[in-house]
Amino acid sequence: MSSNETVISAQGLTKVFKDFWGRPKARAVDGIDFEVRRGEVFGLLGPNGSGKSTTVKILLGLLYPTRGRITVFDHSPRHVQTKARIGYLPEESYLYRYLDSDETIDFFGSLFHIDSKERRDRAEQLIEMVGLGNARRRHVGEFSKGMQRRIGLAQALINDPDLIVLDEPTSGLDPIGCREIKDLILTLAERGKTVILSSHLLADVEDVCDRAMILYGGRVQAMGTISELLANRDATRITAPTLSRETMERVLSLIRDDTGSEEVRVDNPTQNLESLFLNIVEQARRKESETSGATSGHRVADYLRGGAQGDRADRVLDHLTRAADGPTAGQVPEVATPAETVAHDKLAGLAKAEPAPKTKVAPEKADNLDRANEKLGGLLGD
Amino acid sequence: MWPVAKQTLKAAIRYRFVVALGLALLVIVFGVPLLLKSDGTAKGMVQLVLTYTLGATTALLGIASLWMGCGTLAREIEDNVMQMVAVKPVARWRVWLGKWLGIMLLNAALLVPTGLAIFLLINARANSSDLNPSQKAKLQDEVLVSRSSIVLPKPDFTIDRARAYAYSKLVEQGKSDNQYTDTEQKLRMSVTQPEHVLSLRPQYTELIEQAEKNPSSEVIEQLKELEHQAVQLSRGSREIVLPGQLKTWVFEIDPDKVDRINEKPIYLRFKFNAGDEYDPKSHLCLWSVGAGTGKRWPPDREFEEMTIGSSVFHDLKLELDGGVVPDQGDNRGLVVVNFANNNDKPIVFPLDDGPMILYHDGGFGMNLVRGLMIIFFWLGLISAIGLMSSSFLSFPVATFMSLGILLISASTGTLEQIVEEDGITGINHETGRKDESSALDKVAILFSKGVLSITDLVWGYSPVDHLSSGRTITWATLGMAFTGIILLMGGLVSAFGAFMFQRRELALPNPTASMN
Repeated sequence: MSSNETVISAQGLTKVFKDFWGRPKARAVDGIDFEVRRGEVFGLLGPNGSGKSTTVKILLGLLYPTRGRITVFDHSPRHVQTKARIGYLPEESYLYRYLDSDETIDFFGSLFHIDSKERRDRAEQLIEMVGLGNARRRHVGEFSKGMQRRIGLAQALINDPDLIVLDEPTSGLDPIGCREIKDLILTLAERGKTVILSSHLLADVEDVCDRAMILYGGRVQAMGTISELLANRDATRITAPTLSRETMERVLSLIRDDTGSEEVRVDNPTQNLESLFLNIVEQARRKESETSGATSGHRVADYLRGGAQGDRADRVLDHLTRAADGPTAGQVPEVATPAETVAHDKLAGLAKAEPAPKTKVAPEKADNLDRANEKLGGLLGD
Repeated sequence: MWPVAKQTLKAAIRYRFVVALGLALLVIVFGVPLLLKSDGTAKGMVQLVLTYTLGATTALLGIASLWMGCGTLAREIEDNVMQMVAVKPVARWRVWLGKWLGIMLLNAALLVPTGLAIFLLINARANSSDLNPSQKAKLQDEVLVSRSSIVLPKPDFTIDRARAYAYSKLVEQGKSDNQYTDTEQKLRMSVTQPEHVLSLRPQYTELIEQAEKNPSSEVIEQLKELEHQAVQLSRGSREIVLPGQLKTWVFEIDPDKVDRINEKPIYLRFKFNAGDEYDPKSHLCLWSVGAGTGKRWPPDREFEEMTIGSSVFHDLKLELDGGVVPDQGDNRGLVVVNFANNNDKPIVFPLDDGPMILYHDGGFGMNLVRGLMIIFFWLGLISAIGLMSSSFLSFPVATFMSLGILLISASTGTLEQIVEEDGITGINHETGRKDESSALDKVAILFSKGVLSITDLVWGYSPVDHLSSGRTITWATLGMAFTGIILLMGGLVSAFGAFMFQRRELALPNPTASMN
């Protein structure tokens, strides 16, 4: 759904935090360039202190760049009218604790100069959409973290924004809530909305983003479409319907003759986002890139590399075992429809051994990514 | 802007701040009068109630405004909630102004019922059947009323050395009145009292001529000494009434107002200090008004004898059938007041404290409204100062800074002293003046005058004092207060605060990081 219309454009964007005396304290963002086009879901990835939140806050006009230039809808991020086209969900609940759900949505809606009837209608729909219909009159301060994320998301959408900036949108949400958020992002993208997704959760980014930018030490370490980033360029994968043994041998023979190599395997390349991400971080660490945030140590990088090289069959068995006995199965009766959909997808994916459509989480991949997230959580200290 | 204002008001209500303030105001309005001990008169009691309840209300709401001003913005910035507002299509200055309006809505919501409660309470007391008719009448005539004042023009005590010299030379010529040229006549009309005093000192012109030839410091000092004496003498002649001496003041009332003023009694308001500051006992004072006109008070004797204390204001009721103010011929509107000092010590009437004529000008209710509006303006400025500080400082530092600004601006005694004593190096108590002015003195005087002119713009009103003494706070005064407090000072403070808020990065990782 992306078009050529540029929504965000950053050139040489740099942000240096200074101390009270004006001395440079930390270079949070260091000369990054990127563009986001209309209808794109653009992911910002990076460990703590890599500069992604700073980048988000600069593009929202909450921080001012030390150097470089950034435009949002061809205007400065501080341009007041431009803000009418932006929705923002911050990483934490920055809401008025003494307001209830209705009042929260109404207040933020009023800042967009939406008339009161329209505000009421939208608030009604949004609160239902985020599943807080039964908690309309409760003060936000009484909400759990997940509920606060939901009301935060609702306020971010009150103005039907053209650009939605989501900072860790699934943080604090249960798996179903996460799925719903991702579905919502995809729905918004289909509607031509531009989404900036800043997340630690690799599965989130992989599931919904068209393109991603990986930051470390305030610099862009990699940027491109998800498929570009995940592609293993040292191997070629041919996807075909199930082949007969004779056909397979003929194909292999042809490839061996053509490449002159005996090392031809019939397999899927196994590189995933997790390994890519960790490799990039590790490479950056080896280059001793400056970072103002947490750095990953060798221990974590080794650990992650090991996980990424695990045997596929083991993972499938592991996945099947967990699918039958694990906590996901136990949650099915509570929220029947989404869980059933996921289960069917998983089974179909396993039976066909084919990648699932982009809009659905491939069960194997989801499982791997879940584990990767856990590992990365440990790495990043989340 | 209005959504932010409503939000600010809602925050105060939800956090029970309004309830706490409301309870405190209830205690002030209904509790404080129970603790007060007056001179036993209804007038005294009501004056005390007005002074203390309005004073305490102003103080409480002032502190609350400061607290709200500092807290509402700084806390929202520190809690990051302001980020959610700042990413919405509302200009920062509108957010700032919305916050201010919210605080002002709260102030209005608290001040209006407080003022109404005070008004009703005092009226209930004034109409109480326990009061005898004379006390009731005194209360109605002197406190629960709006009286305008007529004051004497402030005398000019400045000395222009060139003019003083020219005038002295003219006096030396000893011309009679009809011998002066137009220019000389003009000069005679323009000299101040100290310049006239100097013309009676032949050495003054000699010293000026010497100074022109040889401007030695000794000659200059002598000149200054003479001029200082002339000013002191002039001031003394205006303020001091020696034992057995008669002092006369002439008040000029707009002839157009005379008939209306004569419909009700007028008052002579005065305050005197004992010539001997260690002798503050009661003094025997003799007053008469309108001598030589058809409107003479007291009507049945030469003087009104009064034995009264010094250093406090006294209101002397002047009442005649048909009014006290002369209404015929050339004397129309001229009220001549005579005072005889029948004591063995001098009496001093400070120029800043009158005397003055007070006349009925309206009801207490409207005067109270105007007084409350001046208090409301003050609260507006105080909350703007709080908001301004919190636009670029953290909550505790903003509170500290705002309190500092308020304390310094309200403590002008030292600055006044600097101006009065011509600097900070102090005066020679033997000569009563400064020996030598340094550059530091000049800077201090300039600074003090600057600060005083600003603080006078803000604090140069005394609504509580006016209300408790039944004096009119005119619409003109109210307009000046609005212009000075809200438009000028409030505008400056707001512009600076909104500018700093606009510049502030709301997502800095820690509050000590500076702006780009």
